[in-house]
Amino acid sequence: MNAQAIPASDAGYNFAYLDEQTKRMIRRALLKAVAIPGYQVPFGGREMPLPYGWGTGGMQLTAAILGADDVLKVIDQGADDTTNAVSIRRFFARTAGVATTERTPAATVIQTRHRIPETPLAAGQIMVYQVPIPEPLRFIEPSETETRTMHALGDYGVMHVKLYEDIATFGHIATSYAYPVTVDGRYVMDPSPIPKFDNPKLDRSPALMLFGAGREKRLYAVPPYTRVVSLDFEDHPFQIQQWEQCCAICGSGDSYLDELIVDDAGSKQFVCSDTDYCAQRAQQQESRP
Amino acid sequence: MNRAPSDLLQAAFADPVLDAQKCFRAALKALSEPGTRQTLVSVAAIEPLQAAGYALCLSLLDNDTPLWLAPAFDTPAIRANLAFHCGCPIVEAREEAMFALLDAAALDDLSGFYAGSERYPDQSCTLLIQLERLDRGPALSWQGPGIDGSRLVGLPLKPAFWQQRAARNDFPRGLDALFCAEGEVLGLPRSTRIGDSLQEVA
Amino acid sequence: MYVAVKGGEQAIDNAHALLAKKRRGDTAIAELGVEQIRQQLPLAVARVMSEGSLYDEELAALAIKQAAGDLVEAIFLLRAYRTTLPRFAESLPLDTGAMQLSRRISATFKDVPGGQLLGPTFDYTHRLLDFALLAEGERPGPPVDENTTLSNCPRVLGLLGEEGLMTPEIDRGEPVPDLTREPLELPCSRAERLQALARGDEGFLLALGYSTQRGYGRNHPFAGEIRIGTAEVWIEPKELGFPICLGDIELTECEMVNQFVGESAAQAQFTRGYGLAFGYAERKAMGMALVDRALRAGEYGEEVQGPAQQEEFVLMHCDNVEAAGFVSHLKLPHYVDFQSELELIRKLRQPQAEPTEADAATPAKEKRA
Repeated sequence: MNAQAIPASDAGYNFAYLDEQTKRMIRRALLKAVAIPGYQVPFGGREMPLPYGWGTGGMQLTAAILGADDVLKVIDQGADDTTNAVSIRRFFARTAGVATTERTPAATVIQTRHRIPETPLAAGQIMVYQVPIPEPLRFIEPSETETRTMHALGDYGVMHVKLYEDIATFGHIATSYAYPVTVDGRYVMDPSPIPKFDNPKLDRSPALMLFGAGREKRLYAVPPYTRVVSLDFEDHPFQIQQWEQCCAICGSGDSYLDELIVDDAGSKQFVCSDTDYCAQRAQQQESRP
Repeated sequence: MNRAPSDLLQAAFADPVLDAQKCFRAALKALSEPGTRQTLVSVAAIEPLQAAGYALCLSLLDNDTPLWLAPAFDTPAIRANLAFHCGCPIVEAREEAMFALLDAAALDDLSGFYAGSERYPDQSCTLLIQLERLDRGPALSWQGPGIDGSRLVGLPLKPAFWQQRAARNDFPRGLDALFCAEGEVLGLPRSTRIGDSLQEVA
Repeated sequence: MYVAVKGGEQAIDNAHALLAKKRRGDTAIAELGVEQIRQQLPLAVARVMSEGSLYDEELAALAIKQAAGDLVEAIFLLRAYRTTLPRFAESLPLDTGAMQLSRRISATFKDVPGGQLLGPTFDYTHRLLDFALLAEGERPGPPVDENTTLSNCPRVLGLLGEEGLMTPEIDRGEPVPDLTREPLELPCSRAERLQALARGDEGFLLALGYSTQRGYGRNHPFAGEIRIGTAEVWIEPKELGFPICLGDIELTECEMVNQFVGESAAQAQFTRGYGLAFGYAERKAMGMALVDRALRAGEYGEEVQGPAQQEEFVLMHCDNVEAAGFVSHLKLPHYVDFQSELELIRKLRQPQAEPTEADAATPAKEKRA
C-alpha cells in the first residue's frame, strides 16, 4: 500500500474519482468490449478533471478497473517522467491511494499514450490505451453513420483502397502510426497512435488490452492471445521501423528510438523511447564487471 | 406479499466500493479468458440465489439495467434485495432485459433474449447463470480470443444449452454468459468457438 | 528542447503557482470576490451555467474567478464538478408560459397580448464607452413600483397555433434521454439534439445560425418571441406521489417562426426553431433556435445544403469543452509518432531500388489461409 495520505481536498470524491454508477456503466461496457474484440462500444463518457484529448478515455477506464491492490504505471511517449504521465499517475495516487511504479514487470495496470513497453507483457497485466480518434475509417469516411455500417457489414474495401493508393503514390504504405489492424479476423481496429513498430506486440499478447476514447465516448478491447494482424498486401508486406543507430544510453539495437537534436549544427543522437527499459539495461551493464 | 419488504432485506457487500471492484475484475478476467474460473467476493446468499450469482448482481446491476428473473429466482426476498441494493427494474418481457438471471432449468430455452444488432452488437443481453458447480461436465474444446490455442472446459450443461446458444450466435451478434457456482465465475463470451470433440470427464 | 517535455512534479507545481500569481494580479488591488462576480458579471455567469449544464450561480462565479475570466475554462471546471454529482430525479417539464417575465418581445406583431416588455437589454444602447464607469460612478436603476403586476402573456406562437398556422410540436411521452449519461447515437432524436445545442458553444451556434441567414440552408426566420424571466422547477418523487417545487431558475427562451411547409397550399403551416438557455442569454438562445430549425431539414424533406443542417457535423463539433481539449492536446508531446513520420518521409525520399508494381497489390486478407 502507498503510505501517502489522501489530501483533505480530495476527501469529497469517491475512490478513483468516478462515482459508483459511472464505474458500473463503464464496467458493463468493458464486458461487452472483451466479448466483441475490436468492436467500439459506445459509453456514456464523463467529463474528467483533465481536458478531453489528454487521456480522459484512458483515465475513465483506469478509474473503473482500479482496485486497492493494483500497482499502476503511467507512460506517455514510452516515458514515465513526461509531464502528462506524471500528472495522471499523481491523480490516481491521490484519488485511489494506489501504489505506483515505473517498472513494467511490477505493474498490474499500465496506462499508456502512444507506446507499448519494450519489456514483454505478462499474463494478468492490463494495458489501458488513451485513444484520440477510435475509428480507423474516420479519415476516409467522416460520417459515423457510414462507418458504423461498414463495420456492421465487415466492408473494409475503402481501407484497402486507401493503402493501395499510398503504394501507387509513394511506393510504400504511408501510415507510420495508428496503423490499422484486424482483430480475430473480423473488426478493423485503430490500435491508438502507437508507432507501427509496436503493432506486432499486440498479436497474441498474454496481457489484456483496453482502449478508451473519452471525447468520442467509445471503448474497445483485445483479450489475451487474440490474433491481431496489421493490414498489408502480399507484395507490400507490413514492416516495422528500423534504425541504423543504437541507443546512445543503453546500446539497444532493437527498441524504438527517439531522435534528439543535440546542438545548433543539428547533430543527432538516438535514445530509447521506453525509459524504464533503457534504465534497466543501463543498470545491468553497470553492475556487470 | 405477506411481509413488508424491509423484513426481507439482508446485508450486501461489506465494502460496497472495493468488493464491487473485485467482483467486476473477476468477471472481466472470466470473460476475457473464457473457461477460466475466477474467485468472487463472499456475500450472504438469498436462497435459492447463491453467493456467487448475488455478488455478480451487486457489482453489475443498477437502475439502468432491466433484469429478467428465471422463475426459480422470482421470490419476494430476491426481488426486495435486488430492488433495495441494486435498484434494477425487474422486467417480464425477455426482449427488454439487459441482464437475465438464470438457473440450469432455464437453459433449455433462451428465446427472446436480445442478441444485439449488426450495428450495435453490444446491446445484447448478458446471461448470469447459476449452476451447482463449474466442472465435471462433458469436456469441450474452447477456442478463440482469450484462449492460448484451445482450452478444455467441462461445464455441467445439457446439449440443449449449446444448441440454444448456437442458434443465437451470429457474430458479432450473440449472447454472453457468466456462469457462477461455489463462489466462482466462469465466462463464455459470444466470441468463443466450441469444438465438437466431446469427451466425458469422470 | 528535449528537456522541455520532461517535467517532474516540481515543474508542474511551479507552473500552477505561476498561474495562481497571474490570476491574482497586483496584490495592491483588492481581490475580486465570488459574490461580486455573481452580482456584477451575471451574463458571464449565465453562459458558464448554460454550457456547463449546471444551474448554480455561486459555483459558476467561482469557476470564472478560478479560470481568470476564461469562460471556456470556467465551463470546463463546472462540468468536471457536475459529472461527479448523483442524479436524484427528473424535473417535470418547465412551464415557460407561466414565467415571471423581465423581458418579452415579439418581432412578428406590432403588439401582442401582454404587450412588448423591453426589460434590461443592450438593444438600442449606443455602444459608446461609458467613462463614468471608469471613474466607478454608480448609476441607479429606474424606480420600481412594487405593486405593478404583469398582465397575462400567452405565447405568441401559441396564438398562431390556435389558428392552425404552426406545425404542432407533439409530445409523444417518450423517455427523455440524458446526453450527459448516454452516448449520442446518430441519427438522434430532437430531444437529444436540443440538449446538445443547449450545452453547445455560443460562438459556434451563433456562426452557424448566421450562415443559414446568408444562404447556407436558408429557412426565413422571424423572432416570434423571446422571453426572459424566472420559471419554477418541479419534481414529482415516486414515493411522494405529488409534485413539489424546488425553486426558481432564470431562463431565456427563443421561438423562431420559420418558413412554411405543407402538402398543399391549403395546408401550409409555419415551422419552428427553439432555443433555451440558463440566465440572461439572448444571443445563445437565438443562435440555438436558428440551428435547431436548420437541423429539422430532414423532418421537413428539405435539401441539406449547409453545414448548419448536417446533424452529425453540428452535434459532434458544438461542444467547446471537447473542442478545446482536443485542440489543446496538440501541446502534449507527440515525438514518438513524429519520429515514425520522420522515418517514413526519409524512406520515401530515398531513390527506389526497383519500380514497385502497385497494380499487383492484393489485399492481405486474401493471403491468409
